Amino acid sequence: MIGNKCCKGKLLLALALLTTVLAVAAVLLGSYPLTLPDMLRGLRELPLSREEQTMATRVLWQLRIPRMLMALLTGAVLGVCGGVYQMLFHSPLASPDLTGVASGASLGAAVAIVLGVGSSAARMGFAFFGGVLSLLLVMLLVRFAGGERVGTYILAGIVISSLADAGLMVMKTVADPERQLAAIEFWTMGSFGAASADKLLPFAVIVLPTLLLLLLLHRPVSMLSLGNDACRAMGLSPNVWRTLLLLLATLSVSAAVSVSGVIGFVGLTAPHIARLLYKRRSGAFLLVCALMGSSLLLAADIAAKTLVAGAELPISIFTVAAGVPVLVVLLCSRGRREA
Amino acid sequence: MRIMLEVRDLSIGYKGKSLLEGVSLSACAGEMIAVLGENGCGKTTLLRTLAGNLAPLAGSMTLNGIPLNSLNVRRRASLVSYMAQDIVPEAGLCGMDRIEMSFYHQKGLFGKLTHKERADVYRLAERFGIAHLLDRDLVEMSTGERQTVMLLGAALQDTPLLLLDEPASALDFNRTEQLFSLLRYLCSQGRTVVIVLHDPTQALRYATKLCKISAGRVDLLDPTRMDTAQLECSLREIYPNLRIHTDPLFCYTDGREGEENADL
Repeated sequence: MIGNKCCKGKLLLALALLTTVLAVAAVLLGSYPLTLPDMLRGLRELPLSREEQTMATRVLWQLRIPRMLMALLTGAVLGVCGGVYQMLFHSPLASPDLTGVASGASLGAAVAIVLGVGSSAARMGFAFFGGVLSLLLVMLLVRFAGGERVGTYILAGIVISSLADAGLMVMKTVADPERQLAAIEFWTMGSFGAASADKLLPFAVIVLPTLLLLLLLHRPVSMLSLGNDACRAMGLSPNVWRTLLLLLATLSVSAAVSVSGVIGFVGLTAPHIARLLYKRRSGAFLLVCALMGSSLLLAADIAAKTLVAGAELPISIFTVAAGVPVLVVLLCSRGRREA
Repeated sequence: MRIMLEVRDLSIGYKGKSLLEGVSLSACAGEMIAVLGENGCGKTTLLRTLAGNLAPLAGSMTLNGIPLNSLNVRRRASLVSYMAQDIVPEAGLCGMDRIEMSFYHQKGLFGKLTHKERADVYRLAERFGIAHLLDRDLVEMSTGERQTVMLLGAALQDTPLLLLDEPASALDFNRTEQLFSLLRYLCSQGRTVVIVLHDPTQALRYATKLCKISAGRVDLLDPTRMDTAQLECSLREIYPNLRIHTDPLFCYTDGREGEENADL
């Protein structure tokens, strides 16, 4: 038991280290080259006014660090929420897209693009609103259906998600094919290319507290994974807690999606890798999910901005490319265990 | 003896479709009631209703005079523990994780088990021969092993009323003996146990009362107040070929169980 604990501590440490290394790399790498001394100078120059700062420092504080933090936080959000969804829905297939958030947010963003809303902050607001609206609709539908069962959420999510997808298609049809359509397409593939310091604050204000709460509330999450009856018998009201946890998770996912666009697969793969490494889904499991999600997304973002010089590639290409082999390995190990 | 669990005119079933009506039961502290009946007669529904997982359609249930339905979930869990039939939960929790959850109603969201409580859990698990399961994934256990873990969880929830739905269905002979020896110990401590059983032998051997469900009717039988022929006749409604003999095993378990469980 004690050896076990020590092993898990080491795993957490190793993952934290990996995330840190990737975070530093994400800050240094990009089309404007930065070096470690640049970074240290940047730290010293922070109190200076913008005019007094060197170019490197401005890039560091205005672009690189916000972008790194956004990728880090978004990865953590997707990882943790993926883990939470998989446990709450008793399904290895559950992922943050399931509750219709991604589609809702996409629709929100597309509406903003088609309406010609200029600032990217406003676009972010539209996307966030779309995500939250689809969440509320899912909750309403579940309440209306009187569903206590886990499947009701999944079905309601599919219904709302499809509805939003249909709306998205309408938007694509009416969009100006030269500028707007491309913007919508690019948005639905996800990117941190537009990250900047002023977008970080509203994002962090929503994401940090929800993320922290979810990490703290791992006990009700694992109790809910035993099913409604067992949960209630142990003194935890399953409906209240499931709703609360889903609200928290979906809120943070909407915030994340509204900044970065739809990022495929991280919410699905991060918890599976975490499970493979950590073996359990109790205790620090959600923390492992967070670190795993962050590492995946930081690595994918580094690839997205460096692989083709001077161009930004959609980040989903890399998250999917990294996710597929993991899922294949998982599938094989699963099949072998059952055989 | 003081009546602890009192069920009056309870109608149970799902959404408007009642399964059993006019169910009345009472149990004193320290009693073990065995619920007997054919598949689908409503045993599990009765237990789920008592456990608060299903709202009763009519009637009242009180525990020590407290109406069970008015309690919030957490308070109720400090009075009633419930072990459902075996469901295989999604992988990822070990035996100790499950047992720790039984302390939720005392510890809340963030409380941790003390060293003493942890040691108690391990000692008890050792006696049931499942200490090695505390580190193992619930899904990797056999059904019987998992049942033993769940049972230990229910017992450690430390409630005056325990509701057990077929806890012995997958247990081997020794574990079954241990199960009933644990239950008799719990009863001797003044706890009340309601247990669904499929084996009338076990029910007659260990339970103090029998709750017979047949043809939509619920009868509470007290074997001490009936002679063997009466009891046999009544139980033949469910088990047509039943014949009751005196039990040679009784003295075997009776002598040992006191000392065996003295340090629970």
